[in-house]
Amino acid sequence: MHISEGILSGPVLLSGAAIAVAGTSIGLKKLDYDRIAQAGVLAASFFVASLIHIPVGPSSVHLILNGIVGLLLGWAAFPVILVALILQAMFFQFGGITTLGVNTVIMAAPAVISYLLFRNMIHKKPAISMTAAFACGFLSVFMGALVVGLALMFTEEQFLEVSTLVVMAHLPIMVIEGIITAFCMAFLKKVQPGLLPGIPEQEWRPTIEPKRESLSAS
Amino acid sequence: MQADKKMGMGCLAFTIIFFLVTGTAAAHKVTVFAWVEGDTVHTESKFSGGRHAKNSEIVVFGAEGNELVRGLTDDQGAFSFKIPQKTSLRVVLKAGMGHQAEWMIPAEEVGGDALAEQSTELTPAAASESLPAVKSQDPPALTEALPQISKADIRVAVEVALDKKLAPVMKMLRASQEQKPSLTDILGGIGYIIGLIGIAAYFNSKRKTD
Repeated sequence: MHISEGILSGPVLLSGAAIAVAGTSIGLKKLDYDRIAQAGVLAASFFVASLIHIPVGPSSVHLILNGIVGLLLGWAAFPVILVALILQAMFFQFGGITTLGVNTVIMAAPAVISYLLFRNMIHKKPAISMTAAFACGFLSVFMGALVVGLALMFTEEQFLEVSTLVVMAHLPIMVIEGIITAFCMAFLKKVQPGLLPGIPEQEWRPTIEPKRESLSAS
Repeated sequence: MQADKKMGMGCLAFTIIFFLVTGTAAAHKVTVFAWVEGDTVHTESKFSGGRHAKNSEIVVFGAEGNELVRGLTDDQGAFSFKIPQKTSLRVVLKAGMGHQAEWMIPAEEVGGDALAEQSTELTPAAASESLPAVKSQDPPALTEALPQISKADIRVAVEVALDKKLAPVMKMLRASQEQKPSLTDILGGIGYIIGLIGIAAYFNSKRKTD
């Protein structure tokens, strides 16, 4: 899903960079210092996931994991994905330095949208939360494909044509990412629900600092 | 709780490593490689990971950025064309969905002077046959024949022989074009991320002590 260098026109690159900068600054502001380690682990996962690759059609697609990054980090997905993309461009020559902004938007914007859509639904009944997590993983890739089409629309290719092609190529990835996201969510819900968004601290961490809580309560 | 967290991280790490080992660790980029053989330019395109870029568009630009040739790659990701112009050539591969790669052929390789023009007049086959015929003649006849062999003929013959000899080398070069991300790359990237976490943690601890 990385767009190579030398394809996009200047205005597209600039607007991509502008959105990426805006998203990153919001993300950095919203990133809780206590979640730095989690952000790091997810950045590393995102960075490495791009090497897991599935040959489809004339192109090749790889795992993206932007759904789970978005679900667990919200707006912080922007800086995390940006860092991972810089490293991918440096070490793997995926995408490129000039297309960093556009590529960040392609993968981070859908992540944030999925987060906003599904963050509350994952605390519902298991059936609903599993479906929501699956949809989160699935739609993050789907929307990413739409943004690719949007970015390429301003060069020579047709939006509908490219988007259809990219969506078709990523269909298996969408399903796989949906399943991965659903399982990760279910697993985290059992062992570490504090990593999931929208849970107040005291609901899952009452046993650690019971004294202080009882003090503040009285 | 701490053990749970460790278990969670461990599971995540395991999943990643599992996929890395079992899945074909391949890259998400395309490469195009072009080389000159006689008066033809051959190109080979592939996604790194070894898959050929089939049915992808190849566009060739001249030195001034003017478009010269346009065509599609075959099932093997190959596309060949006659040298259209004796300047440096820029071969651009457009594999669709935002994948693009390019390869420069310098003017010297194309043969950007008179000698190249000669080579197009004299077909490679004819050139390679003319030399053995000369050698088989008697010594006196050879000296007589010598003036007839122009420098250009020798040049062409040498070029044909070189093309032939260099073919395996070119093949090796082509194969080496494909660079899979190595373990060093992967660990290096993860190292950077850990470093960034460290910087953030440092500022966090500073903030807390202040």
